[in-house]
Amino acid sequence: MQLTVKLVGPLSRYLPSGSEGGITRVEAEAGMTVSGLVKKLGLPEDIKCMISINDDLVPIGERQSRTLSDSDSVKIIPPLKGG
Amino acid sequence: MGWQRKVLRVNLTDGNVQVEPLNMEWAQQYLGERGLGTKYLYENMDPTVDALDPANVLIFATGPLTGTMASTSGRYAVITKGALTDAIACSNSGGKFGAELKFAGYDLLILEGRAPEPSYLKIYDDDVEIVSAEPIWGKTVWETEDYLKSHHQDPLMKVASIGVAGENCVRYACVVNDLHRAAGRSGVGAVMGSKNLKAIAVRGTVGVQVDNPKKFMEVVRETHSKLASSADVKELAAYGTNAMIDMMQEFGGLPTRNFKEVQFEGVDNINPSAMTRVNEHGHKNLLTNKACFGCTIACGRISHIDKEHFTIKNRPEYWHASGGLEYETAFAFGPDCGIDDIDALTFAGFMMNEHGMDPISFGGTLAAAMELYEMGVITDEDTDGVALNFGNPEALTAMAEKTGKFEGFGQILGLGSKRLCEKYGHPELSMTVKGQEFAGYDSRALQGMGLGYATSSRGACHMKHDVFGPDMEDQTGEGKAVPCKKSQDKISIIDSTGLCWFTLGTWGIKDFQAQVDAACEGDWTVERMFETGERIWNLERQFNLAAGLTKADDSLPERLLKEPAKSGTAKGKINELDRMLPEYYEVRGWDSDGIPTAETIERLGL
Repeated sequence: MQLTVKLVGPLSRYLPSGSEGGITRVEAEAGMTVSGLVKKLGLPEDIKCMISINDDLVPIGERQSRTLSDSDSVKIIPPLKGG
Repeated sequence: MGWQRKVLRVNLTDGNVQVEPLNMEWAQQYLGERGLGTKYLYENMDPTVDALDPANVLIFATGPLTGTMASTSGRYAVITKGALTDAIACSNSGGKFGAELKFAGYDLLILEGRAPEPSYLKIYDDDVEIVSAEPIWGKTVWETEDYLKSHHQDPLMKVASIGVAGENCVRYACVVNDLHRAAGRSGVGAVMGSKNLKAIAVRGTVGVQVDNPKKFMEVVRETHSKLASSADVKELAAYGTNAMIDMMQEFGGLPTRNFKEVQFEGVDNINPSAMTRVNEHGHKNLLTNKACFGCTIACGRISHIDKEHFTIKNRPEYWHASGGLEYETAFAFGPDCGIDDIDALTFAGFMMNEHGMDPISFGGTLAAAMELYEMGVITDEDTDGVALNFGNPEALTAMAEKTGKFEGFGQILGLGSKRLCEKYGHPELSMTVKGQEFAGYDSRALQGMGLGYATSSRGACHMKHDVFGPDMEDQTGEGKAVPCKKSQDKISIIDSTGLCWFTLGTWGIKDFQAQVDAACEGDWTVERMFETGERIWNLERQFNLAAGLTKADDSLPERLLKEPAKSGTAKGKINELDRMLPEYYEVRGWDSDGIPTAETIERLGL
């Protein structure tokens, strides 16, 4: 299946070269979990971030079990802070 | 030590200048800066007086760590009754002014009364003088600082001043120090203007001592090392606070067009990437970053505007570099007003610094006026012929300048969003709490942020609590009261140290505690830090209750409580304040009307 993944802000440093607008397309095997995707992207497993699938926020406790579907749009957003 | 043990009290009405010993019992109960300033304010004025009355008291407060070798030790706070909010105001600033005030030998500067003529205060250690401001009254912040340094032949002098906006009591006028750092919120500059006080110019030579120098140096070496090697800190230095704009956009919590929407289509034109992009004229907005006194982070932005841009094409006086876009400025002028012209945003930011105004409140007020204009309630007749549509960069820059100079419709915008919307018969369009405009976090997406906004002592503010962690995890009101309360207590004490809370994330409360404990007399444990923070929060509440505020002031605008978010992760959600507030009062030890119980007051020694 194919996923569209957006790595926001400073996380864009984990994108493959040639990616534009913070977006990359990822070929993933069926049944891949959110945690599996994080690992596949090369992000630290304990990274502090928010993850949404099709603009639905995935709680941290569900990342190990929540599976992805073909054409899902995944956003990985660094932690929010004051500014 | 840590404290200088001296308070400088100046009565501007009769010119009396006194140096008095710091009340060390209060210092042990409230630490410094925000906490100690609040205690002195509470004990020195009647909270019911009008904010612009001479009987209001204006306090500049340093912390015990201000001016020490600790990282980020440049902080000071201005505490008073706010001209924008009629509630307690505590505006925190960086730069170098706070450390210099400490070097002059003072923990606090207390300003009372109203000068009979425009004046400024000159402080050279013990040599304190009230001087006529006739040559600088009517001048900008930048002109004032130039004049004072030149007139006193002292380029190392540090200056905190107000612009024409403050002189005319624009409700969100701020106090600007070091050209582009500001005690920005709640109208503390308007209070300074009401006292006929144009500036405070300070030089200090007495230094700062700490209680246990050897221990302090060891702790500071360790805390400095943590910051210097932190990935978070490196990101903050590289991207600045405006990195938040991309995150809020993708999260769906970026308030847009007076909070009608939560995502902005033009964000790519005003984000950190846009700040470093070279345009068709070969111009790049961002020049470099900049640190405050003793800072290991250097999150400040220094920018310049394309000379071909309409704002400065024939105005070489603005071809220099100055303070660039922070997140809150970018949000308030950008998405909130629907504008994606980065140079227009930067120019309006220059206007805020030059004339001394809070960009969050100005942007929020302009956004409300734009909505009223598009509804036909405000017309071209009101706006001096300027088309006040969302998305019009010329409206932003023209109105920023008019408000700064207190001209035309700028005088109406200077009222702030609450008073402006009431004037035009639509109070529901004011995106404020206690009269203060929101920062760039929509509380339909960030529920705990909404609770923090509603209960903040100084009105809508994102800097008095930190519920980002729980808000990232869950977008309901469940379980937000406890972390909101705990973070409010934590930030109350951090704001009382003289250090910057942009270190949070790399530093925990134990890092602050270790530095305070080494610098100050007394056994400063983590538990005592939290208890002191809670005492400060409750004293601010006591001030507001005495000033006449009630539970009704702990609320959010109808838009956030009734109009669901249109997109993003919170699509369809409203803020669940009704669910969170009763639980919050309970965990605070307040009754159902939001009044601290006798048990809470006794427990905290209030």
